[in-house]
Amino acid sequence: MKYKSQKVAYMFFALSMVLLLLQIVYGFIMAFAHAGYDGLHEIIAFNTATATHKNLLVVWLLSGFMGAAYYIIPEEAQRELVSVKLVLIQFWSLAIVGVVAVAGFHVGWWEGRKFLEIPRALDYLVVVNVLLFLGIILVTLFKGKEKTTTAMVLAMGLFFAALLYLPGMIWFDNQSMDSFFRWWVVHLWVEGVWELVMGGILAFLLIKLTGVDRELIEKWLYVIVGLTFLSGILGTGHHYYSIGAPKYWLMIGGIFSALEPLAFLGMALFAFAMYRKGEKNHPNKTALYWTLGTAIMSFAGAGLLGIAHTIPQVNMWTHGTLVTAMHGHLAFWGAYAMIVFSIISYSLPLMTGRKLYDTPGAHYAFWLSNIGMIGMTTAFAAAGVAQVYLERKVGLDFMVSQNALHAHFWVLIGAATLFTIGIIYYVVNFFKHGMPTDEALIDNK
Amino acid sequence: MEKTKSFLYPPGGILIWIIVLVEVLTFGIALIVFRTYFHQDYDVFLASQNMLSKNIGLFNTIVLITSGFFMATVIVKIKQSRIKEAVKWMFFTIGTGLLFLFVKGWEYSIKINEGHGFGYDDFFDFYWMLTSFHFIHVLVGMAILSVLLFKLRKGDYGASNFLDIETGGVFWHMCDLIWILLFTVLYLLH
Repeated sequence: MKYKSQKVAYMFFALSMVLLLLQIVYGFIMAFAHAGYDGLHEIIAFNTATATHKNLLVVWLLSGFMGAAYYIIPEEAQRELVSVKLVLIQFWSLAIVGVVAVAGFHVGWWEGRKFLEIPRALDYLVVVNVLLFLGIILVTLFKGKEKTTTAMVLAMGLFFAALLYLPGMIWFDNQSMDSFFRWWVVHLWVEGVWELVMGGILAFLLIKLTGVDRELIEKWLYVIVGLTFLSGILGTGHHYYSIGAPKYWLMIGGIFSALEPLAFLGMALFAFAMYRKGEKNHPNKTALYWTLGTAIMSFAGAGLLGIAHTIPQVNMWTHGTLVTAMHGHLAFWGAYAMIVFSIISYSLPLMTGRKLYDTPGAHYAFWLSNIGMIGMTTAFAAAGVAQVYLERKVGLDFMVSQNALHAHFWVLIGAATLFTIGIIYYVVNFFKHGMPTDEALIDNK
Repeated sequence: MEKTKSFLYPPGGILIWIIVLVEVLTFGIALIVFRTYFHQDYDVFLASQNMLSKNIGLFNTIVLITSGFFMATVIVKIKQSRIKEAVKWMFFTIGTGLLFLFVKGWEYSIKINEGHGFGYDDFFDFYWMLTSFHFIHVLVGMAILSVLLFKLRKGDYGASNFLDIETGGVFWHMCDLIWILLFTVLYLLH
């Protein structure tokens, strides 16, 4: 850690850990409901659980990105954050809005639109919160000594992510129009600007962990940014199949979605090329595991499992089934959860001064969570294919076909247990580091 | 020396070649999908294909290939340090590019007047999407060439410093290449 204000990242990371654990609880509630044991139905109905599960995911990832930005931007810009007091206000308002939103879901205070359930009043608070966050980051960056490509890509990703929150707030009387713009938030985040955030964090970590020249790493960062925009923007079209949007989206969505794995493949090749070129003597091997793991798992989950059902001829059958859950889980885990884990694994020992990175717990966390998640993805895949066959080929009713899938959900619960043990190891390791301290400051020279 | 050998080995730099690769891949996938649809609905596609003017398409193909030749001449002249001549050929390159856009615009207006706009049938959906994506690429190419022309006249480039021009040249040739693919598959192949 080079600047005192970088310590604020810790709070955001800690919030991420807590919300992640909560998200997993809701995951289990749904898995048991799918397996036939929906005992909590009266208190937490399935639709409440699914909304909570997804919104918690988004909030803990955003909290992780914010923590990453508060850690990375001072180091790249070579100055302290402009105001730690404002960061504290931003942190607590984020946490409170998040908790209120999630609590609201349980008493029916929501908009009912998939992924964007947060009620409109809280939307405005989110906007204010994010504007404050961006203000702190951008002012720090522009007052700083350096404006590196890494910092600019990261800031640009966060800026556009904020901007793309707005289309979800426009009121439409037409369901198709509403869906059309809803995907601008959801899709253009995960397959557009969040990839920039991921690319920026990845570049920062590779510079630090491999020791390869910044110039070289940043040059390739441009390629990734280019590929992301080329494929991701029009690739949104794969969400426009069968929602009432014009037919030509089948064509545009199909073609540009087919290119989307390229951005992730680019990132994976990039990470491994830099690792092989590097000196391999950085002591924090755990952070390196997570970083290279991100590169592989994002390509597998977001890239390959994505293209597995974005082709219109396939999507015609799989649209809105558990096949989507298969892709969604490994994509979010591989691309975004793992990049947050990477930056935490890298920065936490530097903020706290405790070098806990080669402990057995850190290794268990990495392997168990990844193996567990691959198992979960496989269970979803089997359940999804069976669902498509029973429901859409054979023509069984939705609930009848769901009843036939119970076995797959026991496999899911088993794999999820493994995953959860891994996550618990990670969280325990996280809190074992203790609080960040100024004693961990190293000489800026 | 190290640089030219590893990172910047292909003319114009590796980054532009990645762009070329991705572009050709994109248009390639689209054309394969187009061919698949063509076979599935042969009569409708053939009838619509016959409504396109092969003469206008051929004329524009010749215009773009000529433009590509002019672009190559620009680079030859710069390598010989004949900057004034390079500027002249760059004007010709941009001029022929403009001619392409003008003729394409005229062809578009004919199609719209005939009522064969976007949404007429699957064939014309492909036609409009693919050619308009290409049209945008030519516009971008013209913008790049204009900037290069401006800097060339200012004396920014010479026999030992022409990487930017090569990069722009590769982009411009990519526009020819894609047009040749489009012309063959959209206008001729059936």
